[in-house]
This record gives sequence, C-alpha cells and structure tokens, in this order.
Amino acid sequence: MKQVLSFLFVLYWTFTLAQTQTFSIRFEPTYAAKPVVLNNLYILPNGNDSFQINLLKFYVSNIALVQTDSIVFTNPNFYLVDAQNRLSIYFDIPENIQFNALELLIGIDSTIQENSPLSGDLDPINGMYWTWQSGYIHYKLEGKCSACLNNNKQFTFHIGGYQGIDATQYKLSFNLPTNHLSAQLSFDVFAFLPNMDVAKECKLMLPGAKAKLYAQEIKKSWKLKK
Amino acid sequence: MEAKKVKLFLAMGVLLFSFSYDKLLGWRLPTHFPKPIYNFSSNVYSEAKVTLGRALFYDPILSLDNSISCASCHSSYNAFAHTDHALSHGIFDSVGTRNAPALFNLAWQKLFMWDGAVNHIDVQALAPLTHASEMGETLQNVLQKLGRTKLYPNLFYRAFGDSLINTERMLKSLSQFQLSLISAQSKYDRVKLNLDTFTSQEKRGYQLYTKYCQHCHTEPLFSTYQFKQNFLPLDSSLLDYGRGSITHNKQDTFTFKIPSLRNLSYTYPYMHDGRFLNISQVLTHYQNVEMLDRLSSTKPDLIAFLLTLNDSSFVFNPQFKYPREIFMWREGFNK
Ligand code: HEC
Ligand code: HEC
Repeated sequence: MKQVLSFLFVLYWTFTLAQTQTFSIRFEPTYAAKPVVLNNLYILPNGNDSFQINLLKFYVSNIALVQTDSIVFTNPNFYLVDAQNRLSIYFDIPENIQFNALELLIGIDSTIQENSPLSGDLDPINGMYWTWQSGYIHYKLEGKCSACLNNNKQFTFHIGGYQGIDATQYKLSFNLPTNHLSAQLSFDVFAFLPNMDVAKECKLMLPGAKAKLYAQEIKKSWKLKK
Repeated sequence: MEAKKVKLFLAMGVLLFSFSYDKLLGWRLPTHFPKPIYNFSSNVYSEAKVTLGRALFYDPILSLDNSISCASCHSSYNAFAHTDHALSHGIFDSVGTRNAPALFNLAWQKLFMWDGAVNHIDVQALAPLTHASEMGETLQNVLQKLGRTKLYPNLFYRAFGDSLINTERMLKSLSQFQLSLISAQSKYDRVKLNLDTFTSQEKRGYQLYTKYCQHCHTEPLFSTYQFKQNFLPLDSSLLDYGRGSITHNKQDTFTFKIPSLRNLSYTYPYMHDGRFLNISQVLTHYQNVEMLDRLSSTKPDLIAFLLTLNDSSFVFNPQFKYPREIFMWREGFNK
C-alpha cells in the first residue's frame, strides 16, 4: 500500500510540479519602424546625416506572468540583452499556470543596485557598471554619427540612475493571448531623438534629468508585436 | 558521566571558539559599538579572505603602470588616510579633487566617498581601480594580471576553495580586509569600558564635545555617517557640490559625509579638500561659523578630549601593515 501511495505521489509530482514549459521573449530594436541591424547606415530625420549603431545593450529584470492583476509566476533572474548576440531570452515556467499578461522591468531596481551579487549578467566586467558613482547603466547605445562634433564622430548614450528623482528603470506590461508562450517586443532605440540636438549631445554618461527624459521616451515606444 | 563529558567538551569548544574568533577572525564586534550595517551573510568572514584582501590592498599590480596601490593613498600609519597631499595623487602624478579619507569602522557605514557616490563597500574599489587619475586600470586587465601571477591563484584558492579569480571574489576580499580595520581601543574606549579615567581637562573637553559636536559626530563611532554641511567657505577652484551632485536634491548641495573624529592626530589634513592642517584650524573654523564658543579655554579643552580618540593600537597594528611575509613568498615563487 505504502509503495503504491509513493508511486502515485511520484506520478503526481512528475506530472504537475515538475512539468515545465519554456517561455521566450524576443526583443526587436527598431529605428524608423524598421528592425535595427548593427553597423548598418541609417539616415537621421534631417535627411543629411547618417549614423550607425555599434553597440546596444540593456538590462531586463523582474519578469512576471500575470493572470488578471495577480502575479502567477516571477522570474528572479537578470538578463543583459545584447543586440550583438542575445536578443532572445528563454526561461522555464510551470505548465499548470494560467496567465494573460507579461510584466518586466527595463533596468535594475534599487534593492539589487545596492546589494548586487556582482556575478553573472550583473558582473561589472560586462561594462554596464558605473564605477565613480555606483549603479548599473540600464541602457547603453553607442555608434558613429556624421552630425557629432567630436573628433571620432562618436555618440555614447549611457542611460542609468536608479534612485530618487534620477531613477530611470521602468516597468512595462503587455496583455498576451491566454497562456501564449512567447512575446516579441519592439522598441525605438532612438526614441529620444526628437528631444535633443544631435550634434551637441552626442554624449550622455551620467544620471540626471536628461537620462530620465530619454528613458521615458524609449518607454513610450515599446510595443508587443502581434 | 557520558553527558557530563560531552558538556565539558562543548564548553571547551565554545571557549576555544570564542578565543579563536577573537584572535583569528579579528571581526569582533566591540561590546560598546552598535550592530554593523554590513551584511556578513553575503560575504562570510574568513582569515584567508582577509589575507587575500590585504595583499590586494597593498599590491600596485592593481594600477595601470604597477606603481600605485590602495595603500599609496591610504596609509596604515595615517589610519589609512593620506597626509602628504591635501588632494590625492594617482598614476602619472595626476592630482584628484578630494582628500583621501581615513579607513576604519567601515562596517558601520552605508554610503561611501565624501558625497556618498558609492552605495556599498563591495563596489567601492571599482572607483579607484578604473579612475583615470587614480589607478587607471580596467577590471578585465586587473583580473588577467592577477591570474598570471603565481601568488594570487594560490591566495584565491585558500580563500575560496578553488583558484578561480573573478570580480566578485576580488571585491569581496578587498572588503574583508577593510572591514577588519576596526578602531575601538582609544583612551576614550578604555574610559567607556571603565578601564581608564579622563583627566579634568579631558572631562571639560568631553562636555564641550557633547554640547557642540555630538549630534553630528555621534558616539561611539564619532559620526552618524549622514551628509551635513559644516559651512566651509566654497573653494571656487574645485566647485565641489558634495552630495548634491549625486542626488540632485537642492537640500543636499554642499553637504558631505560627516567624518569620524577618531584618530585625528594621524589623519590630517582635514575636510573633503584637506584645507585645514591641524585641529586648531578646524576649531577656529567652527568658531567663525558660530558652531563653537570662543572662550579662551574652549580650544585647549576640546583638543584634549579629541586626542583621547587616538587609537595607536589600531594605527600600529601589525596585522594591518604592508604584508611583507606574503610578498616575500611571491618573490620566492618568481625565482
Ligand atoms: C590616488 C589615490 C587613491 C587610491 C590609489 C585609492 N584611493 Fe581610496 N580614496 C581616495 C580618495 C580621494 C577618496 C575620497 C573620494 C571621494 O570622496 O570622492 C577615497 C575613498 C575611499 C573609500 C571610502 C571611504 C569613506 O569613508 O567613504 C574607500 C573604502 C577607499 N577609498 C578604498 C580604497 C581601495 C580599496 C583602494 C584600492 C583598490 C583605494 N581606495 C585606492 C584616494 C585613493
Ligand atoms: C552639523 C553637523 C556637524 C557638527 C555639529 C560638527 N561637525 Fe565637524 N564635520 C561635519 C561635516 C559634514 C564635516 C566634513 C565637511 C567637509 O569635509 O566638507 C566635518 C568635519 C570635521 C572634521 C574633519 C575631520 C576629517 O577627518 O577631515 C573635524 C576635525 C570636525 N568636523 C570636528 C568637529 C568638532 C570638534 C565639532 C564640534 C565643535 C564639530 N565638528 C561639529 C559636520 C559637523
């Protein structure tokens, strides 16, 4: 009898708790509504100047699946998304959950900023950590633009800042078809372009009002692709 | 009988343990100090990590041209401050913008640097390591350089059980050494523990301190480690806005982290820019901004008390000095 019970238990366990399925998120960076390809030439809205993107990296964390306002699954991991080689992320979720929305944070929240494990995707060696003022760069965009006035015609946008009025991390939520196992999310890499004078502002490397504004503009551009 | 034996054994074990804890781990909470802020559960204290951290702290391998170590700016004989220069000097003889602060009792601090720009001691070292005018290195390169030595894979092995060298291990070991820098054995501490008594002048100084200084430089650490303004005239060549430039809050402009008053005889010059060369100048400043009375006995009495905060057993502790024995071992390796 005991054996049968434990057998049943194992059966129950393997079929309910242990059964997982994979959820995937694909990120699609865009410019002028078209997918961005690293090192391709693009034209600025002024029609004269061209630019290319050499590097695009950003953090995604606090991923959760939601069933009408209550969280049914949370993913504790941090993901450094990289246009070079990691635009998709995958993680396992239990099979027996019901969900119809996806939540995620672009950036790293303040508790982790102040107690980072300093390893894996959060290892400062990834070049996403500010050293003279603690904190992760949430969004890093670098490249060349003929409009930039500096010697190398380079632009460098390091958007970060996590505390108080300078916080640039932001939460996104998208409705999904019930139990749909993937999401493709697009955003405009340069959504802040209309708010700036490209030639003069090819560089942003510190937290503050400008970083905050740029982050908010990018936030508005996120879309779930159907 | 058996039970008695076990109990005796346990009691001896506890005794041995507390003894070794005292002696080996060094991280003993002074009985008259509050609980530390540092979370030791995320970086379990061990002698091997402290040793590794100490080697790293004293090793110029951490700088680009192998010329500057942490100790170049934080000298044990100055309670780990720097006294030759008001503003710190780094690689290629470049001058920084602030005075190197003393390093002790760091486990009780939440924010680091004069403006609190650094939010955890574990990440503090990244700032000098990569600062162009301090050590000018990259993290990648430092880890590679350490890996190429014979010494460090060995020290990492002893500290962590395998010889892998990575960011987290390097930073947490540096923290461990720095967290071991506890200053709690000054005359003041002995008085608090009823092992000594103040002279009558020191007593008068203590009263002045309690009246004028205590609310910012609070006992027993002699700082709240909050950010406050003590009304130093602005140095227009440095234009240092202090905490304000980190938080962008108006009320933080020109506030700086309150330094401890312990070990002042070793840590001159004073203030974030090292503008005062001695304690008397500091007190004159406090008198000028009406934070201290001008009676003729005030300065000598207060100074007498402040001198009771000098902790020579901390400053001359051989465990904190240049670790000659470790580096000699390295030279043996290279031969
Ligand atoms: C070129 C001189 C220089 C070197 C080298 C240097 N420091 Fe510093 N250190 C400073 C200065 C200056 C400050 C204050 C900086 C500020 O407030 O902006 C400081 C601040 C600190 C603090 C914060 C103390 C407090 O009370 O907030 C710690 C901890 C520290 N240093 C540890 C280190 C370690 C560890 C190293 C080696 C990896 C190191 N330092 C290398 C000059 C230096
Ligand atoms: C309002 C809070 C406040 C009070 C009260 C105060 N201080 Fe300070 N003290 C500070 C701050 C903040 C600094 C650092 C300022 C800076 O570097 O810009 C400081 C720095 C110092 C320093 C320099 C220490 C070092 O290592 O550089 C000394 C010495 C000092 N205070 C002594 C005193 C004495 C003595 C009193 C009482 C007469 C006193 N303070 C009262 C806030 C205060």
